[in-house]
Amino acid sequence: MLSFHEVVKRALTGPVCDEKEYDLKLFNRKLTEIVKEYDIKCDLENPIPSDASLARDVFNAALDFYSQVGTYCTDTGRIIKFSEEEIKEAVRTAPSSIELGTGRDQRDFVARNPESKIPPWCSVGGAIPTSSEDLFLSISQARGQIPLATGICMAIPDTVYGMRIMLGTPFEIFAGVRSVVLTKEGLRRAGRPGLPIMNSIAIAVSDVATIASGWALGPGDAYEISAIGEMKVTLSLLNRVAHVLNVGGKIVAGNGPVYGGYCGGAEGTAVAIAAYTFMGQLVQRGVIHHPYPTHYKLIAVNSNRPLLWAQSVGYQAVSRNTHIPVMVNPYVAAGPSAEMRYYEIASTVTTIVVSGGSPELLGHRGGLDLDSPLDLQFGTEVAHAVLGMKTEDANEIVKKLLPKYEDHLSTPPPGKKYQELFDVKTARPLEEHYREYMRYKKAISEYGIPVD
Amino acid sequence: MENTPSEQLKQAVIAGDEDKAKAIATDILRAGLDPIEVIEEHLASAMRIVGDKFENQEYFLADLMSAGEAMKAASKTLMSGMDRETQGRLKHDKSGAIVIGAVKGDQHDIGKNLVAMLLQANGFDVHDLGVDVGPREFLDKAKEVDADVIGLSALLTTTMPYQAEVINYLRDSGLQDRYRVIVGGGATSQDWADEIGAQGWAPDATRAVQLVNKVMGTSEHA
Repeated sequence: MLSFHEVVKRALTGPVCDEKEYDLKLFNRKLTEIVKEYDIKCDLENPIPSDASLARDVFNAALDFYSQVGTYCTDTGRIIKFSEEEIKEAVRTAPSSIELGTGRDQRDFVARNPESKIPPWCSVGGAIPTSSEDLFLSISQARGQIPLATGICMAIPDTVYGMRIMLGTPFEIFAGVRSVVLTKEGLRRAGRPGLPIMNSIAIAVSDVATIASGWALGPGDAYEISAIGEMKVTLSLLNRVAHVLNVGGKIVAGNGPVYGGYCGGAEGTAVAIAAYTFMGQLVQRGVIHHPYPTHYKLIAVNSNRPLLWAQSVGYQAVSRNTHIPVMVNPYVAAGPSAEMRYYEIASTVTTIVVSGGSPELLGHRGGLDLDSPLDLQFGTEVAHAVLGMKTEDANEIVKKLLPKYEDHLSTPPPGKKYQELFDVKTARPLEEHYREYMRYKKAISEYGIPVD
Repeated sequence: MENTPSEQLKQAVIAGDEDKAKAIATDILRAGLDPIEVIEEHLASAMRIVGDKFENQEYFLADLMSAGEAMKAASKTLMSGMDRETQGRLKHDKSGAIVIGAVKGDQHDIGKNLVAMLLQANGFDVHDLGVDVGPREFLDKAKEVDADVIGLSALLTTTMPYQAEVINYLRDSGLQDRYRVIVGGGATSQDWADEIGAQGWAPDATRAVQLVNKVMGTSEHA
């Protein structure tokens, strides 16, 4: 594969382009043209398509697209461009399996195909919810106690030593170290000290904080480095990649294509999901492709019909045509412990897993401590319950689940806070929350997902 | 519908065709049509239609931005045919002036761009400072354009405090009552807006427009 030095060189010497021109006249226009050229059409009646030729077309469209638009570096105002051959070589030489974790918690994160019987990687946590500093340890322990979890995604503390954390200040570094220390202690209390942290240090965003607090991570952990939307990087991001490559770390290449943003509709979002795989390999140097597509109006949500289609097609494009592991954030609208949340999780996790991906289950956006590890546990159970399921069957199930929530996505129930759902001292769910969880599981198993 | 030059211009803006919009605007000036009427009626109507299409999910961000660019190009051409006093009156007739940007350290602009374009479609005079904008840059621009509202975007938890920094900077400059400050972005919430003393918070672009109308006292929602 092309060296990272060459990528950096291209960021410094590639074709000059105005940022707005890149967004509108290159990224959006080319994507629109390519969707038409490859005749990619969304079918909202079937959110999980079974057509391998559609996945192939989306993959080829993504290859064509990325070789034309490349990645934009906002600091240099230049485009990092790659030839089709360079992209194909990066895909060909990518690893198909990554060893993560240590001791009894060591596992291989393996690339999956659609309908695969290989158990998915189940990361739990997610960097969206902000956790109070004094609950951080309990939440980490509760996440570590999820039986099917294979990795943990650290939360973001709202303060460190009582101080608000500001990017670029020493508090960012203090918070980076403290969040790793507390997460590791939580995992130790859960009896799973070797469970890998998947998102490095979510609170450490700047290059200096990543480097300065990265020593707290262990060899089994992974570093998440996420692109800026759409298809952009900064020199700071490249600095972080350079650092991780130098310490021999494993990179989770994150990206968040926005439906309704420069990607346009579902078809463009599906192509972008696949195209980000190439950027992830070449620019972010990832060993795991980590998309988290979102919606322009519903914000941090991808459980709606157009995005389920875009995700299924995008992940099938990657999983049928490459051997790169895929880990996805199922973003749902309803808050912790709400019944609607369980239907949304069932739909999105089913879509991800039967399309060849693995889920990284999240807390909730929208407020401090909106989090229930039991909801995440349910997500891991769905992921295992649909192993080996045919895409046709999954499609029929998701079609029945969608009417349970799709009309309420713009006015979802806010849900409850961690301390209302869990015993903070024991990190165990309160009885009422557990009863509701069992009731929801029973209801959802009647749709054909055997989670009970 | 009658295919007058003004109507053609409106259609070019709705289609987001910047070059065509500029060319038609030049023809309109040459033909001696009233540029004020074209701006106030036809361009404003075009942007309302664009806003409606966005609401109906027919249009996405790129369509909004292309239409906005076409509208700006046409307006600039049409205004070049006016005297300074008329230009000033037109600006004054806008619904209000907004300075918007992603705060210091934040490189994420898709949500902020959506808000900026929807405000523009709703008749506001929008000054988008881009990303990674410091408190002083916000204040300097707000003074320069005599802004009514300052909109602060932050996606990250670690950049949210920089929204508070802008509010603190305004307070320390003795200008906290001069501008209404609103906040938004992935990590923010109403609680956060209340905590830092912002005049409002909106969870998405559509509600950001409603919020601006509300804080300016120009909406029935107020």
